[in-house]
Amino acid sequence: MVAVVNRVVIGACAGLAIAVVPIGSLGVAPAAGAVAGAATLSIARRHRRQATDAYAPEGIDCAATFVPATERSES
Amino acid sequence: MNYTRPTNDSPDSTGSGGPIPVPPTQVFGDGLEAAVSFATTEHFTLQTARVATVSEANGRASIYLAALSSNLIALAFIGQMSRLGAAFYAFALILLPVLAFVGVVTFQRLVQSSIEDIAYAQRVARLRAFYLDVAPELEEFLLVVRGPRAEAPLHHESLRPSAWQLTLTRRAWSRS
Repeated sequence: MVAVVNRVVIGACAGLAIAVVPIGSLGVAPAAGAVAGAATLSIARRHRRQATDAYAPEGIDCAATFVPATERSES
Repeated sequence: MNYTRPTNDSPDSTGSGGPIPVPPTQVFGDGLEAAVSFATTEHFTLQTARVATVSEANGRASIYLAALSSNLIALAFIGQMSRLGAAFYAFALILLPVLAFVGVVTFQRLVQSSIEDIAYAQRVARLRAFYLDVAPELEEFLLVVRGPRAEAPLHHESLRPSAWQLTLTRRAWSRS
Protein backbone atom coordinates (compact mmCIF):
# COMPACT_ATOMS: atom_id res chain seq x y z
CA MET A 1 0.00 0.00 0.00
CA VAL A 2 2.84 2.35 0.84
CA ALA A 3 4.39 1.76 -2.59
CA VAL A 4 1.13 2.56 -4.37
CA VAL A 5 0.51 5.74 -2.35
CA ASN A 6 4.12 6.82 -2.75
CA ARG A 7 3.82 6.33 -6.48
CA VAL A 8 1.06 8.94 -6.50
CA VAL A 9 3.18 11.32 -4.43
CA ILE A 10 6.16 10.99 -6.76
CA GLY A 11 3.90 11.40 -9.78
CA ALA A 12 2.42 14.57 -8.29
CA CYS A 13 5.88 15.83 -7.49
CA ALA A 14 7.06 15.28 -11.06
CA GLY A 15 3.89 16.84 -12.46
CA LEU A 16 4.29 19.93 -10.32
CA ALA A 17 7.93 20.25 -11.31
CA ILE A 18 6.95 20.13 -14.97
CA ALA A 19 4.06 22.53 -14.40
CA VAL A 20 6.44 25.15 -13.04
CA VAL A 21 8.40 25.10 -16.29
CA PRO A 22 6.57 27.27 -18.86
CA ILE A 23 5.45 24.70 -21.39
CA GLY A 24 2.61 25.47 -23.70
CA SER A 25 0.54 22.30 -23.46
CA LEU A 26 -1.46 21.61 -20.32
CA GLY A 27 -1.30 17.88 -20.84
CA VAL A 28 2.45 17.61 -20.44
CA ALA A 29 2.44 17.89 -16.64
CA PRO A 30 -0.17 15.14 -16.02
CA ALA A 31 1.54 12.93 -18.58
CA ALA A 32 4.91 13.40 -16.93
CA GLY A 33 3.37 12.69 -13.53
CA ALA A 34 1.74 9.52 -14.82
CA VAL A 35 4.99 8.32 -16.36
CA ALA A 36 6.92 9.05 -13.18
CA GLY A 37 4.31 7.24 -11.09
CA ALA A 38 4.30 4.19 -13.32
CA ALA A 39 8.10 4.07 -13.29
CA THR A 40 8.12 4.32 -9.51
CA LEU A 41 5.68 1.46 -9.10
CA SER A 42 7.66 -0.65 -11.55
CA ILE A 43 10.86 -0.01 -9.57
CA ALA A 44 9.09 -0.88 -6.33
CA ARG A 45 7.83 -4.18 -7.75
CA ARG A 46 11.26 -5.04 -9.10
CA HIS A 47 12.86 -4.23 -5.78
CA ARG A 48 10.42 -6.46 -3.94
CA ARG A 49 11.06 -9.29 -6.39
CA GLN A 50 14.82 -8.95 -6.06
CA ALA A 51 14.56 -8.86 -2.28
CA THR A 52 12.55 -12.07 -2.18
CA ASP A 53 14.90 -13.75 -4.66
CA ALA A 54 17.88 -12.84 -2.52
CA TYR A 55 16.19 -14.19 0.58
CA ALA A 56 17.84 -17.00 2.47
CA PRO A 57 16.72 -18.37 5.83
CA GLU A 58 20.20 -17.78 7.22
CA GLY A 59 20.19 -14.16 6.10
CA ILE A 60 19.14 -12.77 9.45
CA ASP A 61 21.90 -14.64 11.24
CA CYS A 62 24.43 -13.47 8.68
CA ALA A 63 23.35 -9.90 9.32
CA ALA A 64 23.45 -10.31 13.08
CA THR A 65 26.44 -9.71 15.23
CA PHE A 66 28.02 -12.95 16.28
CA VAL A 67 29.79 -13.17 19.58
CA PRO A 68 32.61 -15.68 19.42
CA ALA A 69 32.32 -18.56 21.80
CA THR A 70 34.39 -18.12 24.91
CA GLU A 71 37.24 -20.52 25.22
CA ARG A 72 36.92 -22.88 28.10
CA SER A 73 39.64 -22.54 30.60
CA GLU A 74 41.68 -25.62 31.13
CA SER A 75 41.05 -26.95 34.57
CA MET B 1 24.60 -35.57 15.01
CA ASN B 2 23.02 -38.12 12.70
CA TYR B 3 19.50 -36.98 13.33
CA THR B 4 17.56 -36.87 10.06
CA ARG B 5 14.06 -35.53 10.03
CA PRO B 6 11.58 -37.32 7.79
CA THR B 7 10.11 -35.14 5.10
CA ASN B 8 6.99 -35.52 3.06
CA ASP B 9 9.02 -35.31 -0.14
CA SER B 10 12.00 -37.37 0.91
CA PRO B 11 12.54 -40.80 -0.64
CA ASP B 12 12.13 -42.59 2.66
CA SER B 13 8.56 -41.39 3.01
CA THR B 14 7.69 -43.33 -0.13
CA GLY B 15 9.53 -46.38 1.06
CA SER B 16 12.13 -46.31 -1.71
CA GLY B 17 15.22 -45.88 0.40
CA GLY B 18 17.13 -42.79 1.41
CA PRO B 19 18.16 -41.58 4.83
CA ILE B 20 16.51 -43.45 7.64
CA PRO B 21 15.09 -41.12 10.28
CA VAL B 22 16.32 -41.66 13.78
CA PRO B 23 13.79 -41.05 16.56
CA PRO B 24 14.61 -38.01 18.68
CA THR B 25 14.53 -40.15 21.79
CA GLN B 26 17.58 -42.01 20.46
CA VAL B 27 19.34 -38.88 19.28
CA PHE B 28 18.90 -36.78 22.38
CA GLY B 29 18.70 -39.52 24.96
CA ASP B 30 18.42 -38.03 28.42
CA GLY B 31 18.72 -34.55 26.95
CA LEU B 32 15.38 -34.76 25.15
CA GLU B 33 13.57 -32.91 27.89
CA ALA B 34 16.09 -30.09 27.77
CA ALA B 35 15.92 -30.03 23.96
CA VAL B 36 12.14 -29.68 24.05
CA SER B 37 12.49 -26.90 26.59
CA PHE B 38 15.00 -25.12 24.36
CA ALA B 39 12.76 -25.53 21.33
CA THR B 40 9.73 -24.20 23.21
CA THR B 41 11.66 -21.18 24.40
CA GLU B 42 12.93 -20.54 20.89
CA HIS B 43 9.39 -20.86 19.57
CA PHE B 44 8.13 -18.15 21.89
CA THR B 45 11.12 -15.95 21.08
CA LEU B 46 10.48 -16.28 17.37
CA GLN B 47 6.81 -15.56 17.84
CA THR B 48 7.69 -12.41 19.76
CA ALA B 49 10.07 -11.38 16.99
CA ARG B 50 7.29 -11.87 14.45
CA VAL B 51 4.99 -9.65 16.46
CA ALA B 52 7.73 -7.04 16.58
CA THR B 53 8.06 -7.03 12.80
CA VAL B 54 4.31 -6.67 12.34
CA SER B 55 4.02 -3.81 14.83
CA GLU B 56 7.05 -2.06 13.36
CA ALA B 57 5.56 -2.26 9.88
CA ASN B 58 2.25 -0.92 11.12
CA GLY B 59 3.97 1.92 12.92
CA ARG B 60 6.08 2.93 9.95
CA ALA B 61 3.16 2.82 7.54
CA SER B 62 1.02 4.84 9.95
CA ILE B 63 3.72 7.48 10.31
CA TYR B 64 4.00 7.75 6.55
CA LEU B 65 0.25 8.05 6.07
CA ALA B 66 0.01 10.65 8.84
CA ALA B 67 2.78 12.69 7.22
CA LEU B 68 1.03 12.43 3.88
CA SER B 69 -2.29 13.52 5.36
CA SER B 70 -0.84 16.53 7.16
CA ASN B 71 1.13 17.42 4.03
CA LEU B 72 -2.02 17.49 1.93
CA ILE B 73 -3.84 19.65 4.49
CA ALA B 74 -0.92 22.07 4.55
CA LEU B 75 -0.90 22.17 0.76
CA ALA B 76 -4.60 22.95 0.73
CA PHE B 77 -4.11 25.83 3.15
CA ILE B 78 -1.17 27.30 1.26
CA GLY B 79 -2.98 26.88 -2.04
CA GLN B 80 -5.99 28.71 -0.73
CA MET B 81 -3.89 31.47 0.76
CA SER B 82 -1.67 32.03 -2.25
CA ARG B 83 -4.44 31.36 -4.78
CA LEU B 84 -2.28 28.63 -6.34
CA GLY B 85 0.50 31.09 -6.94
CA ALA B 86 4.25 30.81 -6.71
CA ALA B 87 4.17 30.22 -2.96
CA PHE B 88 2.04 27.11 -3.48
CA TYR B 89 4.43 25.66 -6.03
CA ALA B 90 7.46 26.45 -3.90
CA PHE B 91 5.81 24.92 -0.84
CA ALA B 92 4.75 21.82 -2.73
CA LEU B 93 8.10 21.34 -4.42
CA ILE B 94 9.81 21.42 -1.04
CA LEU B 95 7.37 19.18 0.84
CA LEU B 96 6.54 16.57 -1.78
CA PRO B 97 10.14 15.41 -2.45
CA VAL B 98 10.67 15.03 1.28
CA LEU B 99 7.47 13.03 1.54
CA ALA B 100 8.52 10.91 -1.44
CA PHE B 101 11.83 10.17 0.22
CA VAL B 102 10.07 9.14 3.42
CA GLY B 103 7.82 6.90 1.35
CA VAL B 104 10.72 5.23 -0.42
CA VAL B 105 12.61 4.44 2.77
CA THR B 106 9.39 3.30 4.44
CA PHE B 107 8.75 0.89 1.59
CA GLN B 108 12.32 -0.41 1.73
CA ARG B 109 12.00 -1.11 5.42
CA LEU B 110 8.62 -2.75 4.96
CA VAL B 111 10.14 -5.14 2.44
CA GLN B 112 12.91 -5.94 4.89
CA SER B 113 10.57 -6.53 7.80
CA SER B 114 8.28 -8.66 5.65
CA ILE B 115 11.19 -10.91 4.71
CA GLU B 116 12.24 -11.08 8.35
CA ASP B 117 8.71 -12.15 9.18
CA ILE B 118 8.85 -14.92 6.60
CA ALA B 119 12.21 -16.06 7.96
CA TYR B 120 10.81 -16.24 11.48
CA ALA B 121 7.76 -18.12 10.24
CA GLN B 122 9.99 -20.69 8.56
CA ARG B 123 11.92 -21.18 11.76
CA VAL B 124 8.70 -21.66 13.71
CA ALA B 125 7.71 -24.27 11.13
CA ARG B 126 10.99 -26.09 11.71
CA LEU B 127 10.30 -26.17 15.43
CA ARG B 128 6.83 -27.52 14.77
CA ALA B 129 8.43 -30.26 12.73
CA PHE B 130 10.63 -31.04 15.72
CA TYR B 131 7.55 -31.20 17.95
CA LEU B 132 6.04 -33.69 15.55
CA ASP B 133 9.19 -35.76 15.56
CA VAL B 134 9.07 -35.92 19.34
CA ALA B 135 5.33 -36.52 19.51
CA PRO B 136 3.95 -37.79 16.17
CA GLU B 137 0.49 -38.02 17.75
CA LEU B 138 0.22 -34.25 17.33
CA GLU B 139 0.18 -34.45 13.56
CA GLU B 140 -3.57 -34.02 13.26
CA PHE B 141 -3.38 -30.85 15.37
CA LEU B 142 -0.31 -29.16 13.85
CA LEU B 143 -0.01 -28.17 10.22
CA VAL B 144 3.56 -28.61 9.06
CA VAL B 145 4.74 -28.13 5.49
CA ARG B 146 8.09 -29.79 4.99
CA GLY B 147 10.69 -30.17 2.31
CA PRO B 148 10.89 -28.18 -0.91
CA ARG B 149 7.23 -27.21 -0.65
CA ALA B 150 8.08 -25.09 2.38
CA GLU B 151 10.27 -22.79 0.29
CA ALA B 152 8.08 -22.82 -2.79
CA PRO B 153 6.14 -19.61 -2.05
CA LEU B 154 9.35 -17.62 -2.14
CA HIS B 155 11.05 -19.11 -5.16
CA HIS B 156 8.26 -20.10 -7.54
CA GLU B 157 6.73 -17.33 -9.56
CA SER B 158 3.26 -18.88 -9.66
CA LEU B 159 3.03 -19.18 -5.89
CA ARG B 160 4.25 -15.69 -5.07
CA PRO B 161 1.87 -12.97 -3.96
CA SER B 162 0.67 -11.04 -6.97
CA ALA B 163 1.59 -7.46 -7.77
CA TRP B 164 -1.88 -6.50 -6.56
CA GLN B 165 -0.70 -7.50 -3.10
CA LEU B 166 1.24 -4.23 -2.98
CA THR B 167 -2.09 -2.44 -2.86
CA LEU B 168 -4.04 -4.82 -0.68
CA THR B 169 -1.76 -4.95 2.33
CA ARG B 170 -0.11 -2.38 4.46
CA ARG B 171 3.05 -4.43 4.51
CA ALA B 172 5.07 -4.99 1.38
CA TRP B 173 5.02 -8.74 1.05
CA SER B 174 3.03 -10.75 3.51
CA ARG B 175 -0.71 -10.93 3.94
CA SER B 176 -0.92 -8.98 7.18
